[in-house]
Amino acid sequence: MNKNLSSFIFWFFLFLIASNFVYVSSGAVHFPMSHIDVWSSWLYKAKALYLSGGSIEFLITAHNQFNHPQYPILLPLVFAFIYQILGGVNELAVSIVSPIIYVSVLYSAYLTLRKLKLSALAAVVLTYCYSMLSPLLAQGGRYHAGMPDIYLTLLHWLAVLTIYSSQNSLGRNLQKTTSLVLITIIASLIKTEGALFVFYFLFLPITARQKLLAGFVALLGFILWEWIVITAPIYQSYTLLFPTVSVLTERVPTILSEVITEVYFNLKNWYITWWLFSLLAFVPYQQSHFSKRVLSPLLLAFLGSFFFIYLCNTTPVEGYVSSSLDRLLLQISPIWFLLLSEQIMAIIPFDRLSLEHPYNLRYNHALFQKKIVSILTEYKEHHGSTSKEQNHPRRTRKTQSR
Amino acid sequence: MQKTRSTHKWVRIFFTLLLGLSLCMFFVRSLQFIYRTTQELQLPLYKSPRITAAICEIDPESISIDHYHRFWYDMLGMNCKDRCE
Repeated sequence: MNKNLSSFIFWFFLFLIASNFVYVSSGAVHFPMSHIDVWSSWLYKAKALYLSGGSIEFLITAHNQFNHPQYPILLPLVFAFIYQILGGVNELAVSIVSPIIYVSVLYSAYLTLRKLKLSALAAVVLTYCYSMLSPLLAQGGRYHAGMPDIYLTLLHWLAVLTIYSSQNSLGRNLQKTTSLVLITIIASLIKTEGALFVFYFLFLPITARQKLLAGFVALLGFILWEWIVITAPIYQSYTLLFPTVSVLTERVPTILSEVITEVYFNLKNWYITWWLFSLLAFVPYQQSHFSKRVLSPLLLAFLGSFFFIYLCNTTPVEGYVSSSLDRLLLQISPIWFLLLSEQIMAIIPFDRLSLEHPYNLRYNHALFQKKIVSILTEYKEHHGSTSKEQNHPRRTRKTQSR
Repeated sequence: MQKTRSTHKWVRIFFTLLLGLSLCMFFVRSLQFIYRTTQELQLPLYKSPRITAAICEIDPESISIDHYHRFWYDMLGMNCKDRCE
């Protein structure tokens, strides 16, 4: 493709992404928060924390039994800190954070796709498609500003990036492990499901003992909060219980039907994403090492955990699955979006639209082989000349002097 | 072999068309977003009330914790509007 045309398309899609950012920002500053969880739980707690000078006593009172008082408190604390800096409750300031997180999520997506060796044009087109997802737009500022799931989405992107770079670089594992520990601590203090970030430790190139230790340290924040909840005691609006067989037989079909309805028939949220994901699963392609060994097991682990939580939750599942699944899928979108991107790249000849030389996931294996052959040839030549030099030191010196 | 190749080719064409159509749909949606944003930029900033706007029109600065508690009871079936001062 003509380089100028490629460049034009690249900037065009970048403009569309920028317009989406302006769109979500406009939503954040022009409209009230309409999500019940925002005004009744997250910002309610932020205001209560601000007014009570950081005390969590209000969570223990009987009035709070309906707003999930057992949820981790980090995000309301951060919002209360913003109020403290501004010298008063200012919900507009909290709303503005959501579009900033939205654009950070998109930048992380683009950066990860580029790290996965996609061309700049392919990466920007896929990032644009990602930016159009309704749950992301909503939590980025269109009526759902202040929701915590977009923060977890950003942390998932950072965790995926950390794992990818740890798999592709030698050394610096301590730095990567520390980053992942910090990410997990923050995630588990934002929402309970953030504790599931420990799955990422399974894919760090460190010993099993180090993984256990790092995982335990990463869960310390979560353990501390749960300890406070139990000892305070803070009322728990729901808990996990091992279900009986009759409950299982009742719940499994309900959960599955609500999942299928949300994923395949809520086109307003997901367009044809999940249809595409399912259809492409039947098309054979050469999966990259990263998606085969890291992303696919991670996706299964997270989906399995969510299913288990739905199954064992004391909250009735009717209506609960459909009202929360979009948020959970948004949280783990970095994992499934990268898998979907790779499937798309394997099917569609995107490399023809490349700004640079064609180098996408389909060609990884061939290029890798080529590179290995060239390195081996170079090594052989070098090794051969070195051994000759060692055998005939005088001749070499003479050659050098000449 | 020939048949497999041609099937593969048609699979590619099918998915390329599907994604092309999705991109067109996204583009139309983006145009809607741009139009909406230009309309919204003419509006004044939504100063107050923000939190309570979904329920009733009172200044968030004046909302006490008791108000929030009342909102929960309102949600449980009582009429919120009567409770807004």
